[in-house]
Amino acid sequence: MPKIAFVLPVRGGSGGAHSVMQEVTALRDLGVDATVLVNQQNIDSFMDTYDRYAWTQTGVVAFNGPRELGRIAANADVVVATTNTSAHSIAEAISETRAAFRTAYYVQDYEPLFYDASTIDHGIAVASFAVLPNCTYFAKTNWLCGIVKAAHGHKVEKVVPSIDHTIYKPARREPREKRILCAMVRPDTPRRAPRKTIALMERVASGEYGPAEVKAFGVDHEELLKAGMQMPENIELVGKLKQTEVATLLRDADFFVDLSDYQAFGRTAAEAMACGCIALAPKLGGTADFIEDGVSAFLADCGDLQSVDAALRRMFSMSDAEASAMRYAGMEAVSGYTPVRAAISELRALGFA
Amino acid sequence: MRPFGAMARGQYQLGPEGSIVGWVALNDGTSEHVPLAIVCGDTVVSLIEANQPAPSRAPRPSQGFRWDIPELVRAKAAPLKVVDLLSGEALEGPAVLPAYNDVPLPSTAGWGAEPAYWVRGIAGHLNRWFNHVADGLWATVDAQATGVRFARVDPPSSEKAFSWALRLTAESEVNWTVHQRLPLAAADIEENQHFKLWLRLSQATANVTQCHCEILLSRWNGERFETLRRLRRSRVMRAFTNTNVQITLEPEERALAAAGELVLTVSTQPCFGIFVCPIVPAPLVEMGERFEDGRLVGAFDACEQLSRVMDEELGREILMVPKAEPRLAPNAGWDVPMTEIIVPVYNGADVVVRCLRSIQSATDTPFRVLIVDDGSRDYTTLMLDQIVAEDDRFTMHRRAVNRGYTKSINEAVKLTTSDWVVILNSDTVVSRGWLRRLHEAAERVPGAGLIGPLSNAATWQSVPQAKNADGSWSQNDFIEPELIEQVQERLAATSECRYPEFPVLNGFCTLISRSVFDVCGYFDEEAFPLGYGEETDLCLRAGLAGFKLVVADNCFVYHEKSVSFGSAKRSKLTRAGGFELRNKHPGINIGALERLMQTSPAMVQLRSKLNKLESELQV
Repeated sequence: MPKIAFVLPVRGGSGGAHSVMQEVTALRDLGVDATVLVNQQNIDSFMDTYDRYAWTQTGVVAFNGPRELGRIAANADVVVATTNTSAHSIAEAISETRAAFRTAYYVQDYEPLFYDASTIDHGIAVASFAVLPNCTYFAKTNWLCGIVKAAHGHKVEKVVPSIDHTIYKPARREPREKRILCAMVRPDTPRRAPRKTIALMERVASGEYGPAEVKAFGVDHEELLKAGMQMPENIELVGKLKQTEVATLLRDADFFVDLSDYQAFGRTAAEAMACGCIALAPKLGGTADFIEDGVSAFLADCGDLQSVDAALRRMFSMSDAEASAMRYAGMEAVSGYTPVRAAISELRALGFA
Repeated sequence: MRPFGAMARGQYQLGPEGSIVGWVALNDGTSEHVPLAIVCGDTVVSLIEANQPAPSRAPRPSQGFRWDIPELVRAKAAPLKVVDLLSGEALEGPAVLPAYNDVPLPSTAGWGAEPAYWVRGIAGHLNRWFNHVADGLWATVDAQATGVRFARVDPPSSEKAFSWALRLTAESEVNWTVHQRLPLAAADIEENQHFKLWLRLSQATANVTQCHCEILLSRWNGERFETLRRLRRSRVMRAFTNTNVQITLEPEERALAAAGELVLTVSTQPCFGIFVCPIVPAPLVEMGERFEDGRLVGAFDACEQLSRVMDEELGREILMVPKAEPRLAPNAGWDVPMTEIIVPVYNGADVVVRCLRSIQSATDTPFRVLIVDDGSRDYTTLMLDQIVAEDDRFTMHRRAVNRGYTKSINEAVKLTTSDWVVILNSDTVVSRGWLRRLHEAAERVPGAGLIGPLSNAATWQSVPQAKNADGSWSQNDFIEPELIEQVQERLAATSECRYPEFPVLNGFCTLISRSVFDVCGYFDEEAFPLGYGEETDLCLRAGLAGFKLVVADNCFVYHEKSVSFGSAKRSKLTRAGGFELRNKHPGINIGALERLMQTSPAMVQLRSKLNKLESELQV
């Protein structure tokens, strides 16, 4: 069985890290010797976040610097970068230890977009597509595959995204007078459009689109204040939630809105759809892979208020029958996003299946 | 080394204008330059060499030295020693360096201000160890460094907040530490204020050259720079990039800033050299019209630019960029414009003369030729002068000093005035109507900025074969200069004039629009002083800027592909040029560009039609 090491130098808790962890779990279930390598600085937080996976005790290994990474990964068949900085760490590990493993890059977002184009961080993110020798690139949306191909000329294998369907699953919904709309607010990540999201939620809560209850999650009052924002009184701030609590909220809510500037995948929208919650997601990015606008969910040009406004009016004007049909279509659209399918597609991309 | 216990062999004294002057005896004439360490307190503040004429009172043989006491060291009295590093002994002289009262006060100028003075002028050599470079600017260099130089240079062209940068270079990879005094305005830094610090490396040594660095908050404690805390870790790359530095000052740090004692320090791992700019406040991330994250506008633009070189159509689709309206080529009444042809020359009289004569006889549209002679020997010079004397369309630009190929070409381009310029290698032979055909391609492809012909030996522009069976570039040896008109005739009959667009063109013969130079600048003299990548770099910059690069697939120019350097040197230059190119354009995948050119349908089809060319030519 192949030995695959994913280099994931993060604290854990982000959508991308969740995705890697559930896919590594599936790979291990399939008999693959899959491990996750985390930098020493983040290992404690990472282990805390993922203590529900029993395999982490042996399958998550800390490394301190490229030399140790090279030594730990020396026996792997493939070492997979999962972030731009991990691509550089792997390149340095190869250079310092002359390790002979193959390399791959799981492109989870087009990270040069995270930074101002004149910064060193942008330069490093761009260069991450040039540092790995004979690298196999894979990504979970056609948009990601396309942007890497268009900008850097690399062929990128499309793999299946994964959602934890044991958590994100539908539940019976009782009829109610007001529709519940929820949205995630990320005050420290401008591309997630926190200000635009709060402004829109306020309009929805004021009844502009019909009777509605609005709930915000992913942030608490303190964080908002620190970022110079405030949650209007007509919006319920449910605070920072664990994955299972997010799922409970999405199962209860009628609508989930993501007004991000772009979404390379749109994980929370996909998870909302898996919970039977009708989603509105940005058109720019990879959401078109699982959202057919007006059929399985809604897409809007989030840079254009009129486009968002039109999508919300369509959303709130749906009859119960139309909403049911869209819920079913949404659940069906993401039902195939299972960790096992994702794992098999990754094995295929890496030439192991 | 001289044994211990012998007499001290040198003396020093405090000289005029805050300097230390002295002499050291030579060790039986075996060394002409004696290394000395200047020690203040417990700190070696400078390593210098006694390499000047000794004063008349000194015994012979001996060497003199002078060390200008840096501003920071002058501020406070300190124990002083000057140590002969060959013998390990201290020289005789004052044991205390007095405090001087002429230390200039910190400038009240704000962020990014030009230093009020440069201690040793704006370029020159530096000592190993500690150096006062300019007002509020110091550099510490490894003790083992050699050939350490500094210069005041221009900052990144995109940055308008300041007008200078410091370049430091050495002959080997060394650790660099640069200290810049934060302006007095730093005392007013608000909580978590963001700053940007532009840095870059002086040389590419790998495909993606990067050097780890630390950015520190420091102070001068009277003897040395004391690190207060690390602000962040970062990296330095070959191209200018800025590092975001977030600063919140503690009250005592504000006091240091107000007294002009707070210093920002950049400390690098070993590298050949760095460029350091003054730190300046960074603008806040602003909401844009389309994106809440205003940075995305530039980041998406950068991505779209890359796609212009790699895969424009896919890039537009992915990034939801509207398709550009095609411009129609104006055909009616079109006249081939006047073109200036630059021919760089360095010896090789016969080949050069053959090239120039072919231009004379085969060009049927208006032209002028500018010969750039980079110091050829007498015979070539004579031949060139003869051509210039007999045909007033030919002009000579002779360079007294060879300052490098790329500088020559840039000088020549700056001497031209026409809207179109050809850079033509001197080991070429042009075919009848070549310049007209190049211009026709430019007319047919809207947005064309660079146009190249086909050839026998021009990498992906070669016909009928681009590569040999062993993977090396084909020179299609069966095509001799005397067969060029036959080849051109055959090509004209075969080509469908599809004018394929390439991401890069071979630089042996390129028609270039003046607007390319206006928009993208000239050839990069710093990264490619001897050539070996400068044309590809210009092609990539033009492509990123949106110009089309076109192959005139109905035009043939013979290329002898002579060798200007020995193979070992050429290989070294090619490697260095490759590193520079990849570091200037780290997002661009050169391998993928090659695949694009290799699989160009127009070229594949044309090569297939020309596969019997060898047997069709009549010798």
